[in-house]
Amino acid sequence: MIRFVGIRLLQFAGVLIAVSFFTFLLVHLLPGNPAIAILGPAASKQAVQSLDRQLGLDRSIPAAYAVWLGHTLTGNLGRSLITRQSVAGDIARALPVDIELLVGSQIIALAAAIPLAFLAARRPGGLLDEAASTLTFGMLAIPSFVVAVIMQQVFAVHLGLVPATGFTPLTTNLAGNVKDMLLPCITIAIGSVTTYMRLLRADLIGTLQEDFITLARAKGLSGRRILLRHAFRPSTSSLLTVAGLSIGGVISGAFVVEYLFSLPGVGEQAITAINQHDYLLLQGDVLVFAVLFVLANFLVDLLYAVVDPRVRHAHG
Amino acid sequence: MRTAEDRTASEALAPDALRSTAEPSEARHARRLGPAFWIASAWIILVVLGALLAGVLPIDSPYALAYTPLAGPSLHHLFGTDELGRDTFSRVVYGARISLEVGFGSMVVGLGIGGTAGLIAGYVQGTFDAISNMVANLILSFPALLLLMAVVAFWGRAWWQITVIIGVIAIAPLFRVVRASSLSFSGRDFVVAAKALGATRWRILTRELLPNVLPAAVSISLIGVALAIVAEGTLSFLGLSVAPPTPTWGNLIAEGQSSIARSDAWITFWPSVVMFLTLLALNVVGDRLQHRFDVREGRL
Repeated sequence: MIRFVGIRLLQFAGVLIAVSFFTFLLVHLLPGNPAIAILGPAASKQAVQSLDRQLGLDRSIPAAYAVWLGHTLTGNLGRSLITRQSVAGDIARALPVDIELLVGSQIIALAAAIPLAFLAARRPGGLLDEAASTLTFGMLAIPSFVVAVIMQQVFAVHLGLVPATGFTPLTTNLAGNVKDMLLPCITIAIGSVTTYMRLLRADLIGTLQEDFITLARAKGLSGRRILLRHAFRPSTSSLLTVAGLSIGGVISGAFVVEYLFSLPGVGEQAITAINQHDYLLLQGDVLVFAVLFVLANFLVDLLYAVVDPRVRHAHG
Repeated sequence: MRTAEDRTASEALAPDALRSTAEPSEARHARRLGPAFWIASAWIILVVLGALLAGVLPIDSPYALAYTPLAGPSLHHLFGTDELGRDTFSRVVYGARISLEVGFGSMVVGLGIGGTAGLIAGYVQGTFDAISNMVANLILSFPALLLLMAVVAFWGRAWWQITVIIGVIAIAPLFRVVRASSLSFSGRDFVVAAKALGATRWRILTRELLPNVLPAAVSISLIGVALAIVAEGTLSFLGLSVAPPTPTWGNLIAEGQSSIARSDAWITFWPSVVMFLTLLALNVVGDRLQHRFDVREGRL
């Protein structure tokens, strides 16, 4: 187990370095001289030089990356080019919204997917199973932004059950926060439910054909007990892996949902930054999401090994 | 780090192959493309033709501000008009251009680079395989939409730039799929036989492996086209793709969404429906073709 964790830690560090290097390089994609592209053609020579220094454009790329990484690791992501606020501070204010969306949407998605998968797996090919798989196939063809628009129109605008836009921080008013976040979380969850359900259903059906299930059945255990106690456990590991990978989907969902429901999260901040050409803030936002994604997958890998002993032994 | 994808790539071919040997009647059933496939293909052809011939067809200009704003559907304006009095039907037809260009263009890039690399990596293995695997892993270590948005923001938002970026992102999954099937074919008797007869590497790759790998790769890229259209649509919806007034499905949906408060749902409704049908059709066609080719492999 220790060796397994060690190998994974090394891989994790390698991916983090690659991801951060790429994020650092983004500024160099700007056409022409990045500093002039950011400040505009009317900028003074002094301002351009000072920004050059700040972005490390006066150094070679490896040297500039080293300096940038040093600053980043100490929490200094520079200052916003528009508001002059610290980028790290801006992100720290926005990030809780995303964490809430992430946790909330995944809880809702699992709470819906697990019972549905059990029902479908009990009679493969039955009416419920067929209906569920048709629905899943259809859901693949509905982009998340269309789902978001429909949800907002139906539940917020027409039925008026929850506010259409706006955000109340968790610490200010719990009930208000739940009201504001419920619809965005459900919207993101809809995207994950079908994936989770399809996977868990296939896994359960596979497990139910194993010999130990036949044995349990021969011993006269009830169908429900077999499903819950014997078939579900081996399936949790693949569910975990997919949950990790679907963090990417949740991040894209967060952009759409924050934009549409006006939630002050990192996604909304990044879109505003793009429109205002606030490149340093955008770079910070990209870095935070990318690190979150890599970290989530790393943690999932570790959990995967905890749940399924075959994994840690296979890798030494 | 990517156990789940490793499995899906290799298992993508397996389950149906197994099923087909076990139950021949079901295999025959899976070989048939079925009416859904043909309806879906017809829809895709219709949308592609519409987009190609939009300039020649007797429809309004998507930019003309000549009509009553916010009119409902009528004989003159099948889908009604938007708040500036532009014909929504014509904007939806023209909007297909960007979606299709990005969708098919990015898969050409992705399959061209990722598919070629995967074909070679699966056969020669060794260092080339290890390096291309690492590159694919690195591309996948970034959430796709985030990568797309970031590069578009810094690099530019012309349709060809968006196509290139989505294409580069698509390299990784297409590489994995093609590599897995190239690897499995590499061990088959006919490849070993060709090698024993003294066929060159080039000949084995192009004459033995490519014809076997290509059908499945193309059917998977059709599903990729759908994903690319969604990605461009999301970007458009957020106002980060090709700039207005050029119509795209994403920005049409976004435009309508902001005016729905005035009870004008049509503008969002039509592009959403057309987009839904197109994505569904691409998924159906890709899925059916994939099943068909898998079955053929299993029956050999």
